[in-house]
Amino acid sequence: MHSEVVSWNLPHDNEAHTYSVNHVIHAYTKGINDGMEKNEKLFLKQLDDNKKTAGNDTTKVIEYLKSRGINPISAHLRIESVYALDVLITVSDEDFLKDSFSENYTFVNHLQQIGKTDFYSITFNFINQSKEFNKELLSSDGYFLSFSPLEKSK
Amino acid sequence: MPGRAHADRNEKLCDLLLEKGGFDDWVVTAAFYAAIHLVDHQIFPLTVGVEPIFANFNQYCNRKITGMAPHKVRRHLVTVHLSACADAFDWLYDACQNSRYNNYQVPTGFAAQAKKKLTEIKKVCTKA
Repeated sequence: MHSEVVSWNLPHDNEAHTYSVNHVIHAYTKGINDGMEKNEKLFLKQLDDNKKTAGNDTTKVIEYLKSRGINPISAHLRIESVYALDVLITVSDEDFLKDSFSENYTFVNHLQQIGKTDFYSITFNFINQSKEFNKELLSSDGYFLSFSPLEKSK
Repeated sequence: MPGRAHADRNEKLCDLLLEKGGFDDWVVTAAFYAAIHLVDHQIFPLTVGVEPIFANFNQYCNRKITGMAPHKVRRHLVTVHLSACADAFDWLYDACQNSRYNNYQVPTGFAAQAKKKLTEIKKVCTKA
């Protein structure tokens, strides 16, 4: 039995649908730019989301410290990458020296573990803030964002 | 130098400096570096689930390629495999690594506390 070959035809006025090299280059460049713009937006959104999550986690740690009679002085955020953030919380010499202070690490280690995803991880560190505390050095190490709720309470 | 011997050497330095006085920042540092060798010696060789044995910490970092800084990797390993001394180890880490933000001015009591944390870690790391 004879069967007709099925094919796809260009429209009869195919000249209107033919693209020059310039058209292709333009489309290619536009595609790249659009894609980059989209990636950049996704990158910034992820960073923004992670900063907010880090803020919420920091609030939890601060509330926990306060519930144990420790008064945090300041908290500083370092963005290691879009997906990895570090928070350094400062306390007084006396608080950091308390025998029971190290128990706070159990809490933050748990918080770090349960909050970890492919797109977010946080690490909490503590240090005493003495009279010699060097904020410039802290900033040059990447901890240039400070936690506003603690700044306001000063 | 084997890990345990290195830990003992650093602990001796820690004790000497503590006794001598005037070098409290170095007491904290020596205590932390003694602790590092203690926990490494205790944790390795290590088998994680069905993964093969990691002979030492460096091999673990090389094969796992976690993307994390070695100190972070070690803290994680201590939390998972030596949880009984993880809090003391984390405290020592912070006391040592972040003292730079106080221009290495170590308040009274820090050196003794660092030695105390090292003793806590040593109690958990019993492997000869």
